[in-house]
Amino acid sequence: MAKKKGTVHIDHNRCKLCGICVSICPVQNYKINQHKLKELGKCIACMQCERYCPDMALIIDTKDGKDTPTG
Amino acid sequence: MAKILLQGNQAIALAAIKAGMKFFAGYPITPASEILHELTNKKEVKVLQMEDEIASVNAIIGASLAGVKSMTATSGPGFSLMQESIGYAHMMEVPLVIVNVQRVGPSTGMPTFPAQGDILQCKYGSHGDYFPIVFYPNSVDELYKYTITAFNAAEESLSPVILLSDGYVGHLYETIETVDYPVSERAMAPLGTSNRHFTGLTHEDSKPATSNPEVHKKLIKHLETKQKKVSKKYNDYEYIENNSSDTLLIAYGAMSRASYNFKDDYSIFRPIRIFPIVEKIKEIAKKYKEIIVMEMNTGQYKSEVEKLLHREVKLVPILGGKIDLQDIWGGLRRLKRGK
Amino acid sequence: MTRKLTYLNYLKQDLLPTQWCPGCGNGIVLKLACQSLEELNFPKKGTVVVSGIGCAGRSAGFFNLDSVHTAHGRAIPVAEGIKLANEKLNVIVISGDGDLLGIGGNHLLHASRRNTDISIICIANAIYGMTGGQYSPTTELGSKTLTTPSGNTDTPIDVQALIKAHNCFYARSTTYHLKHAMKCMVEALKHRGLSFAEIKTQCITNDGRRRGFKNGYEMLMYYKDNYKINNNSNELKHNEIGIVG
Ligand SMILES: Cc1ncc(C[n+]2csc(CCOP(=O)(O)OP(=O)(O)O)c2C)c(N)n1
Ligand code: SF4
Ligand code: SF4
Ligand SMILES: [Mg+2]
Repeated sequence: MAKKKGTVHIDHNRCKLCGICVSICPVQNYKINQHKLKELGKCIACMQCERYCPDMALIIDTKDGKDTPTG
Repeated sequence: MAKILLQGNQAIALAAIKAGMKFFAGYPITPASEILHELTNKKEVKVLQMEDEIASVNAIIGASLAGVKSMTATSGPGFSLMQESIGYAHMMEVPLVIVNVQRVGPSTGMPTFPAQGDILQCKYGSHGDYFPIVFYPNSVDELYKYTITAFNAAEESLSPVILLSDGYVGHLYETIETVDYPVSERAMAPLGTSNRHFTGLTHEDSKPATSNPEVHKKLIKHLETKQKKVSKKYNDYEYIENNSSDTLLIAYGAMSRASYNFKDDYSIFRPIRIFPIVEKIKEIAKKYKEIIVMEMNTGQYKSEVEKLLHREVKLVPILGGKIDLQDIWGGLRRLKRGK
Repeated sequence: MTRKLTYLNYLKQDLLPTQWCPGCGNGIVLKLACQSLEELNFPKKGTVVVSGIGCAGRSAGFFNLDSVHTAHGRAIPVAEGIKLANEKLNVIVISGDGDLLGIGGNHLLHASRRNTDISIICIANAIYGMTGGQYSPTTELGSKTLTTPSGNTDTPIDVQALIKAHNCFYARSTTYHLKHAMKCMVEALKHRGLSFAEIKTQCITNDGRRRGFKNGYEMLMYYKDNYKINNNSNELKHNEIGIVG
């Protein structure tokens, strides 16, 4: 699983900076900086943030193109 | 067309079926229950006895949105419970017919005695601005006719139309002819066919707009214009002119039946579409030195007539549910003597 | 190419973001409802969503299908009228705990007796969110709210008992237990007759903060730690979630 890589798409128009993704991400891939959600390129495609985001602002693309959540 | 002996409440039930009503929800209350009873077991109609009048009116709102003509019937206490949702139906433009067979209030009052205490509640009972169309027939024959008219006006205006009656007319038995009155069809597409959002919030194009005064003004103007336009089709009234009288008696519903006894001494005007008030009153009133409203309340319609005519209107109030010609005569005499 | 969130087809996406607070759980329930509709392949035409008033009550307006936003507490009778007038429609109610169990509680009591074929998803945040955080019929004993500053002393309503007493479908989950919550909704939607899915949902602004939670995430973790899935019982205990059918 650790080898898997995800590409994070953030819809900044939808994101309300609630911080759920920041706290839930197992590899600390998110940061809120100057009122903007930033991702740090460490995504392992666990899908937790996409699933819990209350505002449907995150989409994680996995490297192999599959969207099946692991974990 | 057929001749039958019917009770007023029964006539409403049968006429509603004639008008194409497919859904009725109600809660038992004297003196309106016979409408519910008459409809129960009629194969044309789905009838629901609900837990209260709030549920009843909301169920018919749902049913109407789902595409079928719907009605409820109640009396004062239930009508009061429905008020919030009546405003809601105006805001969402849902065609409905709401029957109120009036009894003596306030509160539980005198359940088996007729009254006309809900006149202003029809017009102002819900919060906010809305422009209801209200019919108030005075015979079994007319109850039949105006039930169908109420359904037509509801479909044309996309609004809840009130059919007023009272414990007297509602419980009256008369032989009537069941005329095949024309019936307006549903114009609005039923739920489940599109992606509209129906809301009681101030809205524009299916979208809530809760902080834009312009949208609200436009919406209220639209509701007002629409109601005025449709009500013009139904300028229904009765006028019995007495050329030797300088006084016009205004009465409606049960009281108008009593007023016929005074036609040798007075002219009589009986509004049938009581709201919006038939404008014709303005023209007719000009001919008379005095105008008197006789009604079974302490002056509810009188205040509306005064507002329309900008002149003093006198009152013969009949309270307590008993229509006694001696009382009415006494009232008229007192007014004549200036007391 | 970015993957498409296909369940979003059930929403009017131009209305996003929702007006709900950052971290509010209502969005999670909205999303799960769409995913459940997608899973069951519910047609947009032929499905109607009805909500009452409150933060949760705004849900209906986001769906890309015919929807009705009723007066406060009246979603159930409106939904019943819709269903009984056209039995072919799928009728779904999504509304708040105050709306469905407080002001509209009597309707639920009687709709369940009638066993009308509607599916009810209750966003149970144990608070009157929209009006500023007054206690609601599902507020826990001892919980501090705007109107119970020394802790709630009224017993929360036992919805499970109410629904089960009339042999209707009941399920309970939380916004933390996503898969489980979705399963609850899917089963509720599939059920013929009245179904009630109670989803414990965080209101951070007008409930959580007052009770010492810093953000939505902490409330989700509270659900994680306090609710246990029970798959084998026909009666859920206070801290259990599950489907009792
Ligand atoms: C008849 C009526 N009374 C009161 C209100 C004010 N009001 C609006 S929302 C609400 C509470 C909603 O609580 P709930 O259903 O739990 O929804 P939440 O906001 O928590 O999602 C109240 C009391 C109203 N709109 N109508
Ligand atoms: S998918 Fe998982 S690893 Fe990737 S950003 Fe989201 S929470 Fe972090
Ligand atoms: S007040 Fe509470 S329930 Fe309402 S949107 Fe904010 S967090 Fe959600
Ligand atoms: Mg709530």
